[in-house]
Amino acid sequence: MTSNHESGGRLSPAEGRSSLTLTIDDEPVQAFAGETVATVLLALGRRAFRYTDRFHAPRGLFCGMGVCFDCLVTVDGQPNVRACMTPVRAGMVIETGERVDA
Amino acid sequence: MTDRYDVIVVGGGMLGLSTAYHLARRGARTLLLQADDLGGGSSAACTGRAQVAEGHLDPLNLRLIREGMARLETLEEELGATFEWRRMGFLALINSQHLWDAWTERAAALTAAGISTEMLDQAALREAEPYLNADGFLGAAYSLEGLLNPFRFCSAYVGAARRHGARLRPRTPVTGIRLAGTRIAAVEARTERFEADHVAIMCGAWTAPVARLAGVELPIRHTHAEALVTEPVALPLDHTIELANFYETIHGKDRAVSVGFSRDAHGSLVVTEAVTKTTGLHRQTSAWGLAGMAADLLRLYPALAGVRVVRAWGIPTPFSPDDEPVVGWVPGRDNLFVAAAFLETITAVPLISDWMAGMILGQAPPVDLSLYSPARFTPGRGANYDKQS
Amino acid sequence: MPELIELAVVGAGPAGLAAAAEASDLGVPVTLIDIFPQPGGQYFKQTPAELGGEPDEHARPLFQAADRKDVRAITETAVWGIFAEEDCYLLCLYGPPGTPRRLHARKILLAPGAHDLPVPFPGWTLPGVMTAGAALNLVKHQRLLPGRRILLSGTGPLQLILAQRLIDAGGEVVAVLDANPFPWRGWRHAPAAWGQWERLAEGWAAWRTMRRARTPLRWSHVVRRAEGSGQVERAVIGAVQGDAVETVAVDTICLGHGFTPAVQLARQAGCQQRYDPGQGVYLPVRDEWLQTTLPGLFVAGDGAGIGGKDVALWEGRLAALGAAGQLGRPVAPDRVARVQRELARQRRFAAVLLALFPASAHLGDLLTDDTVLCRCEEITVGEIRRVIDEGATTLNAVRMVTRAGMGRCQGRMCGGPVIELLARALGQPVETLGEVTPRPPVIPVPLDGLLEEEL
Repeated sequence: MTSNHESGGRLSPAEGRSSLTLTIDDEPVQAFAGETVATVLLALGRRAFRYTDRFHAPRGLFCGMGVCFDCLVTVDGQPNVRACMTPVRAGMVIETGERVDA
Repeated sequence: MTDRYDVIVVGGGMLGLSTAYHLARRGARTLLLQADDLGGGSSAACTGRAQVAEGHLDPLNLRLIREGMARLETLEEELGATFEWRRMGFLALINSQHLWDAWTERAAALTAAGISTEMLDQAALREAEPYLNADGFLGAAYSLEGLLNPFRFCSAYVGAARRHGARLRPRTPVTGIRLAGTRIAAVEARTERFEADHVAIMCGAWTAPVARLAGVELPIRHTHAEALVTEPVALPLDHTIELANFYETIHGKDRAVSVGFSRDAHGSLVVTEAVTKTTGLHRQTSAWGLAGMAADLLRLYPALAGVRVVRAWGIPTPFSPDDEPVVGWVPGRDNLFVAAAFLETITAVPLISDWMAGMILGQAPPVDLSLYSPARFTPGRGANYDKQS
Repeated sequence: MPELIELAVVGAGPAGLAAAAEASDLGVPVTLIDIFPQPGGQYFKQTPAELGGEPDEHARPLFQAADRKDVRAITETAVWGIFAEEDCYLLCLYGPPGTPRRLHARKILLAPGAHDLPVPFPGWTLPGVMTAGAALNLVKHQRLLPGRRILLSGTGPLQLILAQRLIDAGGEVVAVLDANPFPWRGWRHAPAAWGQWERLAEGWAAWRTMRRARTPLRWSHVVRRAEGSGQVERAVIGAVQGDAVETVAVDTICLGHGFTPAVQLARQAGCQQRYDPGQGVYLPVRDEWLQTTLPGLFVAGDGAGIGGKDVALWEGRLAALGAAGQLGRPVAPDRVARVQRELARQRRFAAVLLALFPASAHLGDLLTDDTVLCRCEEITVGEIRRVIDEGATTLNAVRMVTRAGMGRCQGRMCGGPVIELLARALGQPVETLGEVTPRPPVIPVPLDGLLEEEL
């Protein structure tokens, strides 16, 4: 997965934040309490959260406030969850990628 | 300035559009007037099911269903447009012995008429629908029906009708019908006036109010049906599902839910049906209807709990006192034809519209349609207006 | 039977919070419902405490309103339908376990706010293209830079504020493009800006930050196309009218063309609407108390027409006074007069901004046949144009045949663009092209969320 900038983009220093571990596409990932799933993915340089059904086009964060339903990922087995509206929790299992029907 | 036609079709849902196509194809100068968008009304709010197993079992209806399905198989080619036509297995879930017996008889009659229908016991039902909570069901009746996209179905008729020279006017509600004695002299749409040799009213649930403009009282009433549609669903749900006890559930109540669903080409579930009997002609949905359909669906398919509902709608559905369609010339008027209140509409449409176009232009239909004639409602003929419970 | 409450306030942004405080001051118990975990809406969005969030000084008294003992805050909860009953309204709610599913309310005050105005162009669906609101949320409340080389395209002073934030956070803002020409006529409106010192100071500070960073502000310019493989890599920029273009390397494009009101709930409830050509959208018809044509149902703030956070605050207060009066509370005429005066003042300033920075009429020129217009169902401009050529003359007809607007966003992203495309293709004003009445649920709700009781 290419990105135009290195992993990161987070502004505050890591100290002082409460860190937790979750799984993204079978890889363990460190995140911070208060972040959304979208934030964690973007911080990893992952801009494409899914691929569409018709044109197999990559989609990621667009509106950031839960109205566009583009930023869909699978969270703890539940498909089509809006990453921008989902705060991370320790042990959360996130899957990105191909279209997943409900 | 008045426009003159051979036929004016009032009503631009699937029945009106297909009839206009067949009229134009026969060379008739045809005008169609539709109150809102072409293919609107109930046609825009149905599941797209081409049903085969749930209608009347008289020879006329059986023939209409059998030949209607055959016509549907080649219709995309005939109209030069696709509408997601496919065959789809149908299951009527049966929860009582008397319904099992009734359906066993029905299945035999349908099969004998060329509409193959079989009975599945509970074990076979579970195998056919592994996600269904089949507790409480004795089994199901199974038949192979059809499914299509109703918007594209209507669009296909729109394109074909226009290619054959029909004039289709959406957003043109009929506001008046002028008589000269017992003959319809003109149809008015606000400031416009149209004349024709024959007028056909095919307005679904709005047929009776429009016919009233011509001074005719037709006993076509309506129930109000609510439906909802979900986001695409991953579960392998490969049948259209209905509950066999639909009429029992609704009997004697002003409103009731009898759940069913089918799955569109997109993967979304179209879930029906919350029925209200005594209400005006409107398209509202209710909290009761949505919650009721959801509750009943989840009792049958608990795995669907997290699937999101994206849209809902409500639509009036017409019916006649004896539940047979109303098709034919209206007594007391020289040139008024009416068609409404089918039970298995989509299956009937391609064929009946062809027959009706012929009738309107003076040809006898290939079969005797007097069973459907509005003349059966004329006072003195002994029609029973209160059969519908 | 659902619990009967006196006043439901739907939305805890500035309008909702101000309304809750005002009603509570008059002794009306308030139920304040919002979809986010913390009150504030978009304008007063709160940074999560775990990420070092401190409440905005301006918003602090409003948040204190939400903490009052007679204000019951129901958070993370959506109102998906409103139904008029004989002497009250039924609200249908969906929220976390323990949240009521149904409420009866004597009065409802809707304060649903708005969302960023979607302006499609070729490539707008590429990852890395996001709304200005999304970018602001990331940098301000999620403490994340949305990208390294960022381009802002839109209109209005809020873009400068976003640019400042991104620059201060270490991002390179390649340019800020404003689709409108330089607001020469702004001088005529100077009197309306009187008293708006803080806003003017904010704008000035943002401008200075941009100057220091050598970030250009280019008037009458817009992103014409976003390009890249898998995500944004380049932006093709040009004048809004004209052919000359240039290509710049960017990894993020933030679209800030303004906002569009969230009118779905008011419409679903059955309020009468009227087309507002200035805002390019149907808005609920309201009386002097901001009550709609449904008695006892009020709409305040951006949800009834874009006016910004200060208009929202005073509208919330006015509508609350209206509702409180209907509930028999003693409403002081002095207070009403003051609220009306402040509201009028804020509306004057808001009107200036809207006049100087309207949604440009030429943005429709950017569309090519391959532009995806309906993001959810991936329906292109070309397909919609074809259906229009074949005779579709209303929004509903286009929708029925193409599926545009039938996806999960329920037409929020494409509804406006489709109707504008239709208007241009037919050469007809938008008001003649019909509407689609939202049905419940006005946001997607899981099947088990529709039930009256939790499973």
